Amino acid sequence: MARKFGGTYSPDGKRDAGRDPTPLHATVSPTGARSNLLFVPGALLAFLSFGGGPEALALGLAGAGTWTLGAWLTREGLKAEAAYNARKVARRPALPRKMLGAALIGGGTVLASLSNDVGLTGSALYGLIAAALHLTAFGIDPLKNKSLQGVDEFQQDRVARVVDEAEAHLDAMMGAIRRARDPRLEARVERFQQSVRQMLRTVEEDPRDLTASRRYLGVYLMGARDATIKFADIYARDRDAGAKSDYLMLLTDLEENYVAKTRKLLEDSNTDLTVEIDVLRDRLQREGVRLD
Amino acid sequence: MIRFVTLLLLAAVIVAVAALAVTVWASGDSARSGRLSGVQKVAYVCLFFLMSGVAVGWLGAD
Repeated sequence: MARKFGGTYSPDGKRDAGRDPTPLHATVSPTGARSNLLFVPGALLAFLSFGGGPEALALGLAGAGTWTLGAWLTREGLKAEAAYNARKVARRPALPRKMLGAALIGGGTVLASLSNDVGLTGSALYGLIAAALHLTAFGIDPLKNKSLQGVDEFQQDRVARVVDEAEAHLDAMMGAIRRARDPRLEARVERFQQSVRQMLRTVEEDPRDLTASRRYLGVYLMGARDATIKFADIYARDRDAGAKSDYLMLLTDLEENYVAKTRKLLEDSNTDLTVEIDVLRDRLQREGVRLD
Repeated sequence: MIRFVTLLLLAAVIVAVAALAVTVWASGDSARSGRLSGVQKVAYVCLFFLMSGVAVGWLGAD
């Protein structure tokens, strides 16, 4: 959905330009117009089915319903795929939504063709071609779990669970702040979420960081979510400028802490690498292998 | 009957080839960034017009 942007170069954005130095990385919606447009033929079919007799109406409405379900599954599949691609450790989607969407689009096409007296052969062909085109246009769902090589699978599962919980908190935060109906606040929360997601990616890469960051991904994030829900309720009711200022300060403090902690985790990883290199060099030297 | 089976087989081959091609594209960088390749764009436009054509009744038996 289109929304008014309140960034640095917007008329209302210049006042706070100095306060938010971190740029917001724009993200492209995984669904976009291409999946939303697939709802149009279903609506057309449902509308035009009236006036063709009871059989055509039943087939047309069934086809429209199947198409709508297929388009919805495709959209959900694209979202699930984008979430899978964004993460370094991820399980494959439990339900192959895009492939089911292709099957439903094909089935809906058969029903829609039958409602227009095309005949079974022609309808089956249209249906198969529609399913093939859908598969070509949208692809298939991820079929394999994604994991990092050389990292214990049990640890990766633990991380995946914590990341899932953290993502749920972030989603709840974004849902709450949208109730405040302030695009600049939404952009601010989105930027905070980016710093949290940076930490999530760091922990996914090295599950040993999970213990050190557990409080950040659990308790603190839950606190941020609760504060956002309360703030959104207050701000939606009376647009309290003081509450907004307090909330923005809380977000800034949290963001700084998350960024600092992520930097510390990365530094620790670098130290681990240096230690590993030193140990390996020592062993090789003891074996009489010269590295210089 | 033979013509029907032949056409269905042809369509099944189209589906299989498309699925195979898509599996290859799905592993590419453009797919991961959410951008469509040229072939995917053409397939999408064809799909949209096929669905709209069937819905409106432009695509008949002949």
